[in-house]
Amino acid sequence: MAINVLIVDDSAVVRAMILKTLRASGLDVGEAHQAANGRAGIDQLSQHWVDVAFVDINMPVMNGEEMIDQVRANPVWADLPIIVVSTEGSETRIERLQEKGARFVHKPFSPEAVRDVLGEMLGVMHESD
Amino acid sequence: MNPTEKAIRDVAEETLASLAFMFPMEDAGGDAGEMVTATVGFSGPLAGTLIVSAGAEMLDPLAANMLGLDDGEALSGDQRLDAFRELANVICGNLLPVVASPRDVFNVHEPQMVEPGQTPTAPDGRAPAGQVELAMDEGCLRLALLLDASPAAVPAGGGSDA
Repeated sequence: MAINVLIVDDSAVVRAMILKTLRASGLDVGEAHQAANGRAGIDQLSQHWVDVAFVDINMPVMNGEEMIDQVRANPVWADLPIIVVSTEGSETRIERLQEKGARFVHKPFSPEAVRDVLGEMLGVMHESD
Repeated sequence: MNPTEKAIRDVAEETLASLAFMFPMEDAGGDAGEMVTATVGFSGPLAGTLIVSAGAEMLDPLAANMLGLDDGEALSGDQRLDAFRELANVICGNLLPVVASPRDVFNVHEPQMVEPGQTPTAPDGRAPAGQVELAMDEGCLRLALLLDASPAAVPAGGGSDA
């Protein structure tokens, strides 16, 4: 079954990297929506059904943590699987994000790291495993 | 090389290898030619700016490697600069927990391109906390860490465990 994804990062290059990684990992990517900040990410969620969101932390307009707070506060999206893809190195902040139900992939990321976290979150198994 | 410079070098080398499959050589130096510069400001337990300058010839292979493009696939100017800003962002984000503490929380600001001749300097004319130059087949990379706090605020052992 195809999985719809939302990728939120202020770098278009990083968004392209994540999408390419997902497709290369063998995941059946359906619709791939993108946004350059948390506010635009919320707008995308309002317009499209999304199965999993990849969210950066440091972004202009609305950062990733604020976006996650808004997502968790909305009953429609409260259980949305969220994977934070960020340079964030603070153990304090990472723990805070995990308490909000987000998983974490550290930049720079390997395709395997993204695939493994996604697999754990969604229970997606790949023939290449 | 002081501990901060070792931390900068270690983080930059690891980032270049992981993000763009670029591997610095031992001997840096020489005329780098035209350079492009990005700055990444940060605030928190330490505040300051990381300045990252790259030889202009490095932008194409950097963006192409990050995007996994095949030979001959075209790049836009936006992608070149976007990839360079992201490189600066990733280096800064990974450097801060090393020069400070892993539990410290920083706000890392959006990377900004800097016009030639407009590169910021440390407050009060102080020397950077650390500056490093890396040479690669694709071009050279220069990094300087400016801190708003006094140099004494940098942990003496910063970077030794990076």
